[in-house]
Amino acid sequence: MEITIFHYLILSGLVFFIGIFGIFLNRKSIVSLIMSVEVIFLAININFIIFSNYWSDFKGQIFVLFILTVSATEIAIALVALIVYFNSRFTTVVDDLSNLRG
Amino acid sequence: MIEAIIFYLFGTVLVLASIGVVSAKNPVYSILLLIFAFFNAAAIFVLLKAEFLAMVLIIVYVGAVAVLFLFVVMLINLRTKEKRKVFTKYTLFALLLLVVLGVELFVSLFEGIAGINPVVMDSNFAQLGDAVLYLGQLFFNQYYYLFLVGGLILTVAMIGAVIIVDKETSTTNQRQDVFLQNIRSRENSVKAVKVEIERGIK
Repeated sequence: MEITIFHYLILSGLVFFIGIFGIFLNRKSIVSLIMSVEVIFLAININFIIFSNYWSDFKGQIFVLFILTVSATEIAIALVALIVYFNSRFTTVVDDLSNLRG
Repeated sequence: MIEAIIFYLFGTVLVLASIGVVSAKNPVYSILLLIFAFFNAAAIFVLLKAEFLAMVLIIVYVGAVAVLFLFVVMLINLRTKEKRKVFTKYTLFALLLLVVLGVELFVSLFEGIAGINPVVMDSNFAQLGDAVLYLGQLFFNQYYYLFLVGGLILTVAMIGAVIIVDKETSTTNQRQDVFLQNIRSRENSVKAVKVEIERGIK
């Protein structure tokens, strides 16, 4: 019952895969798409920390800090865009985005 | 042994919570499950001896980002009127793509890791002494410029968000302009017209 790097990598791979699956499953709703992207970011962070631990190198953890910064930024911008879009169209369905035309 | 129990417990719950995030119908439940998944991932981080990042994940992600998310979703009051169609005309293609992606992912995982010695995860972080101190020294010395770039990204995002929202509200808000209001006279604001029958006013 020893936990090796395989176990951790399979775990992060599964979470990543679930995130990709969420993007396919929830193509309609912008909110669900953003949340699937969050799940994918989580899997990537777990992967970085796995290899940081494996090679005993702190650079992986530093990179995770930057990923957290950038994804927090991305979420903030996405939510602002979502609110603006909702105020003009009263919907958050992806397909209606084609009505915007610039 | 205790590590294996913790890993399987939190790993299973993490996977189940992720499945819940992508499959929940109500976005609010989805976000709450996302918070739950973040807590489980933080436990996995602690298991991998990244305690500082586990705390950052909980404080920054659960405390700020997920709550902001929850706030926005409750603010815009999403109501799913139409029932979500699970099977559309792209579903077969999507599933095919997904299977190909999954096979590629796991094949490359097993092939790529075949050369690596699958030792038990046991880093020598403990030999470095205070891990947070070491992380901070690395972060603020060797990665000083990246730290500045991170701050710049956050600033640009903040300014961008404020500009987008301000632009949006300034076109819809009707603000009072006292000067324009005072210089209006009756002559150039109101006029009497004779309305012709079946013609209307142009």
